[in-house]
Amino acid sequence: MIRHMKLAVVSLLVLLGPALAAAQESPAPANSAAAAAPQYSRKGADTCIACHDDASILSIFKTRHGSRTNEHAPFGHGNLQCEACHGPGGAHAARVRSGQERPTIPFFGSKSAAPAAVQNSACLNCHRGDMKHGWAGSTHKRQGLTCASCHDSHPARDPVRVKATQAEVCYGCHRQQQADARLPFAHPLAQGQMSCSDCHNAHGTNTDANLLGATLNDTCFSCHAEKRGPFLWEHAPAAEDCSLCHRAHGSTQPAMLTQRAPLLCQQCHSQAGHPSLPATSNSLPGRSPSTYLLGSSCMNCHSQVHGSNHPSGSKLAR
Amino acid sequence: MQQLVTTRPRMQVSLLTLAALAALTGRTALAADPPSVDTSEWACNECPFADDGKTNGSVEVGAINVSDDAARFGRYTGLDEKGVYPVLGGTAGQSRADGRYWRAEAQDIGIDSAALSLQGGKPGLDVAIGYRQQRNHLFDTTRSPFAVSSPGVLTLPSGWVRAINTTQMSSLSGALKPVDIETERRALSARLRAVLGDGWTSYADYKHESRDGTWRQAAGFGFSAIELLKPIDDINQTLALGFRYTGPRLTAQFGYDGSFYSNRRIALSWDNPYVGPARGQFAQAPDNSANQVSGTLNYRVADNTALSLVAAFGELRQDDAFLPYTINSLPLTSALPRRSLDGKVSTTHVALTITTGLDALASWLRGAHMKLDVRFDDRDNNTPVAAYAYVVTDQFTSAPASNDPYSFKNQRVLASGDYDLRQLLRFIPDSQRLHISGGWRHDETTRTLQEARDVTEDTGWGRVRWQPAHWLDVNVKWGGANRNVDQYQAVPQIVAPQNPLLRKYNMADREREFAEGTVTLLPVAKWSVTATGRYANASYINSKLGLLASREEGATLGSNWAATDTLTLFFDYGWQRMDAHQAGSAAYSIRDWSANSIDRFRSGSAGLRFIGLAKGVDLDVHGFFANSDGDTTLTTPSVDRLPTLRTRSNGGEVALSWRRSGPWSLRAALRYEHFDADDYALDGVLPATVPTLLSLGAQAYDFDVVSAILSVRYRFGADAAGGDAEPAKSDKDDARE
Repeated sequence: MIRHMKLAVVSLLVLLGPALAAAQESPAPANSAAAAAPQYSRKGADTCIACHDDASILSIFKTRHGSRTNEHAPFGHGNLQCEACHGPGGAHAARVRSGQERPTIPFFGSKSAAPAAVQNSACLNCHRGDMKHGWAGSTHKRQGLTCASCHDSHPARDPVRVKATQAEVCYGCHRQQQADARLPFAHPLAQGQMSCSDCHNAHGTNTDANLLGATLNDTCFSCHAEKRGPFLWEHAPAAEDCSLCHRAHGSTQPAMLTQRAPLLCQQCHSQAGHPSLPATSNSLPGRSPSTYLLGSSCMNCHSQVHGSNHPSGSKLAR
Repeated sequence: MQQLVTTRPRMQVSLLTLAALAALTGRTALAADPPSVDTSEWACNECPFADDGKTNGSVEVGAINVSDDAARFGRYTGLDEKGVYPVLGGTAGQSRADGRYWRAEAQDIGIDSAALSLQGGKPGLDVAIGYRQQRNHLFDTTRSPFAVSSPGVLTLPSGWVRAINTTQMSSLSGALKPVDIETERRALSARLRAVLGDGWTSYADYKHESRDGTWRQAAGFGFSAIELLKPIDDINQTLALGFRYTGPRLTAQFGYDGSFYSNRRIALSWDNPYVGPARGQFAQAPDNSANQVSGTLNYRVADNTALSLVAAFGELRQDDAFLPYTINSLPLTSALPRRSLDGKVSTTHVALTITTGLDALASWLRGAHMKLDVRFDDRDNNTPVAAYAYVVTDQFTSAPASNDPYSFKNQRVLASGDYDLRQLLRFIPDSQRLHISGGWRHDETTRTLQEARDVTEDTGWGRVRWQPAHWLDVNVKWGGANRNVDQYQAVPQIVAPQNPLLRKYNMADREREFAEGTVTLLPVAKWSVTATGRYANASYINSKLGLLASREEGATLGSNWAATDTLTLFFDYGWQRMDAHQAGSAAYSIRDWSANSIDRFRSGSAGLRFIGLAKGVDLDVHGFFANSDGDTTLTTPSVDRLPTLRTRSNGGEVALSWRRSGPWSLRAALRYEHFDADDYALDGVLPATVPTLLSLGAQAYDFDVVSAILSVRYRFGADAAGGDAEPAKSDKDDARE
């Protein structure tokens, strides 16, 4: 494994070295763009508001972006106001001849043709530190998403930053997760009591699925600390990976289990005797009702499935 | 503790060295600063700034009527009982020209999903506190003969006649009392952000989260079990402190995260309703703590090259005093080897990510990116091992057993790349987009005290994204994975051995293939249609018993259409199916039974939002459904089919808001939800249905509930003109950044 790692790192450095060396010589695209710098509007926001005076646009003044006292905000003293984010609007605001199409605003407009990286640079100039370091190389970045794909900075409440409405923004792309949230056993996203960002960092992390915690279990334990242990008697899969038994986005089974007990347990437990017996319909009420199938099945006795701290709990029954 | 591979430190040093080399070989090629612009005439006279020092906000008052009791309907919202609930909430805030501000928000005051927040600050300093509660009502159909005589002690009524099974418990029916299974979670949080200057900021987050209530947990005596009401009364406190640095090329974060779990109920004891030992006792979750320090460095070597290094080191501790082997009088052969566990687990996480564009190598490589991600995760369990006498379910002694402190280590290398094929296929016009990407990932997992010590898995995938026109986007990904187990062998310390033909599915040889695709259409402006599909198939190729194969298929179709500036329509539909095939051996020899389970799920919703339906009137209408079916067929060798596990859920909501000119507005909403389920594990399983299970008699959900809301809102200050100010960063309403 170590050999694999070293090989991979060295391989990339072989690629990286020339790339970096060449980068020193090649002019940055931004510099090229600066050479033909487009014009800004004559009066800044007053020019823009002359046309764009909808309440949905002007609500930005109820946000931090619309603060004139914050020196870092677009509307802070001497800053570029609307054009700080939307880019130079001189051409867009200029008079056009009859029949001539008005040039688009460079960034974030519905017809903006600017590449995602260029649009994002408008945000990252200020928010680079907010990215929690994972944006470069993150899945969303590589998929070509812009900041505006998720964020709307104009409303008083950016929907993706409000717990009750965030999931709807994510569901715009993550349709499968939208369906999962309606599964009969699921985390309370539909009730607005949880948001996707309670577990995931959309800006990218080093973990699978952009989880917030260092591992999947660490993420789960942030709300389920009682299952963290360490216990005297550990249940190995519970200590290793919650998703071995649970589906975090929802399940057809109670407790968001991947499978109904006893079958779930019998995928790993095959000792002689009752663990290996098939629980058939003969165990149903009206026949020979059995604890192996009904109620909590195996967990009618082995209920400490996340671990036990009882000295006699080696079978997770105490 | 088991000693794992010892080359880790050397590897870390090596990675750090390489990372430093990578960083140092590049010279900055950062984007130029924005051009200077003469903004002296940019007076912003038309800008409706809200930092005028006036208080603004809104207050909402009203009532909700819920038509029926239904635990599930009110799960997480608190609207679980028939009756009238208050609607009480509001916002208030003020921003001043000097940058000072405060915001307050309250929601759902008076019901069990209430939230409050208060935030304030000045330039460079933000402080927030919040409160949130959440009720989780699991069942309201349960009954129990037990009473709580003191915290953590369940007793049966005096005169209880013990019997060998539930059908002979003559005093049971008269002793049953309705009980609710529910918990309430309350969280108090505080947050501080301070700008220290020169790119440095600091943060501090504290959260005090408590739970109380009861939950369902069973326990047994031999092969007879009892469903108990487990008391929940615990607190988890978390603390995060740290510093962040943001510079032109380097961002960094150094922090501490702590979590301290405290349980006021370390044990639950109960009277035995069966013939046998007098009482039983199990341990509840012990107090424990987790402490971690971490550091993150992100270095932007060039415009398209970044290097990220994350390292986190932590420790989990647990040292709660042990309970006795049993609370019954039994002849024990040995005393407890320790008073407490002194459990210690060290955790290490190190990750290095390098992302670079290959533009500079060749012109045709413009638009090519590569990413290398190397990660190391270690859970090293240093908990002392000792032999503990074993009292089987408080009844009789058995051979001592030693604890197994499991350790895990995972090392991962992930290399991936993507390429804009237009750079090579010059005939593709700029208006189109054709991206290919692919990757390879190698995982190596080492476990101690388990059947498979070393497991490796290689995963490869490819992806094509084709955007032939601005209105069509096609994204297809496919791949496969191969997991190999070095050696699978029995664990000697497990006294009752596993069938040697079994392979635990997380440690079994496995071949997996997967595919997924998305097609997005934009037929007209502001109308999107998205269809997705996915497929995954796994074969456990060397498993004779246990999970042998699994498959998942799913598809979705969704659409959003802003038909006009005031009318938005949406719908979505989802379908998925999950299959699993497994085998067992009742005779503890070769496979003599198998099971096929199929879970199917369909869901959908549709609705519209009409802003300005009439003057000042907005309308929201939506409906939904969600149906699941689960079938299990056992072959023993006769074919036996369990009853279908079934849920049916549907409902909808109509909401109207009406606002005339001025500060007052009215909101009215009618919501309906139907839910019913068939669950053979619950349906008809009353307290005495199963002779060897004294159950709580929880029944599968079945309800129809209508809730009606009527409220008025009064806006004041600037908000009287419409909309609310930016909310406080409350725990409830501000999703994590």
